[in-house]
Amino acid sequence: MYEVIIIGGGHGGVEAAAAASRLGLTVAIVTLEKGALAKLSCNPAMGGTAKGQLIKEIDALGGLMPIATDMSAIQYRMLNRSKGPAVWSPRAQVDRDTYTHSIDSLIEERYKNIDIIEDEIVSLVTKNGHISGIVCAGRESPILTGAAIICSGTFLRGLVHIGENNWASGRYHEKASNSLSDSLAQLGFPLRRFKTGTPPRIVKETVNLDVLEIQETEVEEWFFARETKNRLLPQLPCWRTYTNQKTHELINSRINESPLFNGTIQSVGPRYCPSIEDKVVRFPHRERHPIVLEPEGIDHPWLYLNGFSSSLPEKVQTKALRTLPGCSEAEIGRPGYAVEYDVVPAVELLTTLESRRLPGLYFAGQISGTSGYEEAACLGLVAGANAALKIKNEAPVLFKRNDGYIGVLIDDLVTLDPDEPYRMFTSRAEYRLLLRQDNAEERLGEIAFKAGLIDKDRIDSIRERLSAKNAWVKRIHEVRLPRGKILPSDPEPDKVESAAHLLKRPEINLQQLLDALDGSLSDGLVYDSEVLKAAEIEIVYEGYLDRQHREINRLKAQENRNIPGNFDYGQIPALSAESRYRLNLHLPTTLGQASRLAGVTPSDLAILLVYLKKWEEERYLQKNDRQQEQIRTKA
Amino acid sequence: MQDTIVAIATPEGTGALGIIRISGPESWDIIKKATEYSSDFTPRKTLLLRFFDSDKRLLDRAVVTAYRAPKSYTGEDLVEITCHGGQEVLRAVLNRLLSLGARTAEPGEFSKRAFINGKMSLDQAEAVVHLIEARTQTAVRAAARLMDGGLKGRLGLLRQKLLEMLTLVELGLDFIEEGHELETKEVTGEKVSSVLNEVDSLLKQYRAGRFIRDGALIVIGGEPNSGKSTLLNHLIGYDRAIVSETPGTTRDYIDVTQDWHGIPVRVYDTAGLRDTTDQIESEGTRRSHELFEIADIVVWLMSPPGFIPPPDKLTGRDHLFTVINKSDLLSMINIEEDITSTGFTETIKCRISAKFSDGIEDLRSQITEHLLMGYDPNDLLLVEGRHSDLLQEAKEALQSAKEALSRNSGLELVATDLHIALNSVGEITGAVSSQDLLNEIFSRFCVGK
Repeated sequence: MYEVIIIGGGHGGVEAAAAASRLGLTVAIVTLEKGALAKLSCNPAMGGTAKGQLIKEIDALGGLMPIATDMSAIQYRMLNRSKGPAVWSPRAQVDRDTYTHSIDSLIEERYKNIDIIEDEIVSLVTKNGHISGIVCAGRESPILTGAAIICSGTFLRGLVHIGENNWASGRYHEKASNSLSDSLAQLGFPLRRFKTGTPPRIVKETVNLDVLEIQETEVEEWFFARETKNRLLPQLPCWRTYTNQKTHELINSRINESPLFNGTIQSVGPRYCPSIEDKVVRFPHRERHPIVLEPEGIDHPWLYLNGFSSSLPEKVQTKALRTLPGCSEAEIGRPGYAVEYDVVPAVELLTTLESRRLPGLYFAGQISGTSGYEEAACLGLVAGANAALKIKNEAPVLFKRNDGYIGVLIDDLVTLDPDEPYRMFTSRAEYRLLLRQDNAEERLGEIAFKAGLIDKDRIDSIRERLSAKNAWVKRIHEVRLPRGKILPSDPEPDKVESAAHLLKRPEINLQQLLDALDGSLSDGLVYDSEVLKAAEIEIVYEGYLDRQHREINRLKAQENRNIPGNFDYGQIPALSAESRYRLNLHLPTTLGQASRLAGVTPSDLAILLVYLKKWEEERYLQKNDRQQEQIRTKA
Repeated sequence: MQDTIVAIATPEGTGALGIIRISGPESWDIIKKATEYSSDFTPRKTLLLRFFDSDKRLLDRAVVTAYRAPKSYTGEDLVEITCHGGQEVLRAVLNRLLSLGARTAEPGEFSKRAFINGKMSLDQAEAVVHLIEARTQTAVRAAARLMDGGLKGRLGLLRQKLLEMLTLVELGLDFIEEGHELETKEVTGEKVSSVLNEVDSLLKQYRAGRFIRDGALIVIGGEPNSGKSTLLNHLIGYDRAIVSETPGTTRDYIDVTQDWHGIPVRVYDTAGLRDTTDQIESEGTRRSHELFEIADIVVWLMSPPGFIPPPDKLTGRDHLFTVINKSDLLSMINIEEDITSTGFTETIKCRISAKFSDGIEDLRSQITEHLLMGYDPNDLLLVEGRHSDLLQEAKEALQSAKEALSRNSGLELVATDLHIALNSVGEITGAVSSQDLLNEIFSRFCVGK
């Protein structure tokens, strides 16, 4: 008997288990392969645009991914450095095996109350309309549980394709799980099919890397996890190159051998992660497509061929590969492949990630329609925390769109009903300037502490840094100086301005102001380069941030207005047929969510609000009547 | 906390009075700023206050009643402003309040707030629902009418241009590893400018179209006995003003509404402006000055022998028409020299003889042309007030984007501005979601590893 059981030990599964465990519950992870938690199925890299921000948010919520990333990082790059800090996105190449070992050891050392069970789940057990246990292939009696979280990745009826060959597998040659899909279908869950793919791995020693462009790690040191202090592994480069006309001709001539193009694969793949076949066919005018050769690890014999995802027959993949610079004699270590898998539409889920259909059952990661390690980890963490909070009879942890990318992620999933695997982008966040990688702790720390996801020491240090930052922001506003002190060629050198005002000019940074004002700016304040940077960013974006805060406040009443789960939209004749359909499909939990559904207009919302109040009033009166009735019968 | 909303509460059209209502936490502050009133309001006590625009020009004198939450219609801090009727005055005051941070209320929003704040019973609220429905349908029909015209195409094009621009900017923010050739800031800047011009032209048409819908106010001014009343009589075609040889005969302003090329025009004659100890006349003089400020056109008559120029406050202003009257009394030679020799630099728009109705038609067509900004009244796109507010928002966002580009600020700021512009236009044409934007990116560019 466990309080929470996690099905699947991938990125979502381990965060779910760790979150529930941090909240003090007894947890088990059921996985097909013990000692191989959080495998990197696709590229050996973490983060990137918007995804790097997600990892920082996981760190603020006390998760494992940022720590393991730092433990296994072999190259750090801050993407978008040439643009403003709101879109800076941390990314790391990691050593594939070290990553998995890091997660294994973190769970082993820090999470003593997590059991790892190596078995295959066959079906779910319910009692009184609630999850009550799971049945595994390797044991006769079910394992009882208070909650179950399915983080099965691509394993539910996973079907791998290479050329005309296909076989049931969740990853290359790892056994898929078909019976859990059947069990979900029997419980009434609608299932849809998504598709994703991965490029071939190349034998490193068969590639002439000398002719390729090198991409090195960044000199400046920074980390994903607050607790990390040093780079632990030697840093390695990647190599960049491009496809060429020969590559494209070859792929075009063999296109019918790709299951993506000959009709074998019907399911939907992500448009932002196209196969090389897709790229060549859909963008014929492009002369070349970028390719990055990424190390799979420090001593790993393979390279990951980023940009070359394919499900062509292995022989064709080899031929296409050999058209690339430095690759004329390259050998494939493992071919690229496509995989189709079952997905539970996210409209089945509440914002706690609990399913509407079967209370106590949660979903996270690819099974719920996302794509990416970071997205899965975030959802796993939220599902794990909410499963635990529900068992503890405490309020769920919910994230608004202005709290973090994590809030955008969940809100988008339940309101958009995406028809392709969902990946995070910075452009999905309307409050992008607010949701930065540098302020994740400030945005999420209190939420995490309240839910029990981080401890007192951690929140104390977050609060300390925040008040130090606020003190700096205040001081920078107060100190005034003549322009000429910092802008020697300014036409009005004697004009006095606040340091904050000057800092808003793109050509001036805080260090210059500190130097120019020797001491008077920093007098009595804590000098911490990270805090300083945070204060600087806040001031540079001030005007825009004010605007975003006003917008957030404007929508607050709407966001906070709850809609009961059993609310009947059929009783409102004034709603248009389209909005009634959308509302019934998504069953939004707040008026704010309802407002983001396609086809729901502001006047629909006003009408809805009136009926909501009416509904509440009637319920109140009914309750009163019942109480009166009881008093009468007693008398 | 809610934001602050504002709307004209009385129906469109010219009435004796018009009411503007503003509700929300900042309503009191906004009114204090607009009236430069420094002490605190006493709830429910009326005050007569002057409203000024950002250049401190007088917009109107109005009766102001402030209400303190929760004792108001909406249950929030609220102010009611009773202005002089006439859409120009109301719009001018409304625009000022918008520029001070209020937002145009959505249909039924005051009632919605009243309802949320428990100021309205369920029965009343249900009535509001019917009202909202009715108003929405009216609005939908109105929008449909609007959209049937050329506006639909132009706004659609505008939306498409903005979406394409934003697509490229977002591509540079989200998909940086994929080797896309991005636009330089200069090219993006040029595109922003071109969209800005388009928005400007729509706003200009709104202002021109507004005259057709709401009418224009023309005020005749000039030294006493310069022929103002005679001109008014010629313009409207019958003896309305008392005309006499004695300076200062017209003791108050009077007005008449007329149709000029489709524009409902009201012409006001004013008392002559001169220093006087006469109590009635000095009051009239003060009111004339107020009228000059709210007029769409001021016709300033100059006549011999004095050729008294317009007051300093009016010189150089766009709505000033200086006109030489009594041209029948003048030999045409040397007048201009005479006038310029006095240091006068205004362009003389035309010469008339009000007495013999010479040049009057020329003046009339010059004025209508000026009001319609050269547009043919039949080609004008009629833009609604709310739409013009949204276009104004788009304009400000685009200006901010342009500035961010020229200052070499981060692209994420440009993107933020373009999002705001696109959302504003989207409120007219149909919203643009982040999903639409990503669809555009995915369909046009090969992205992804």
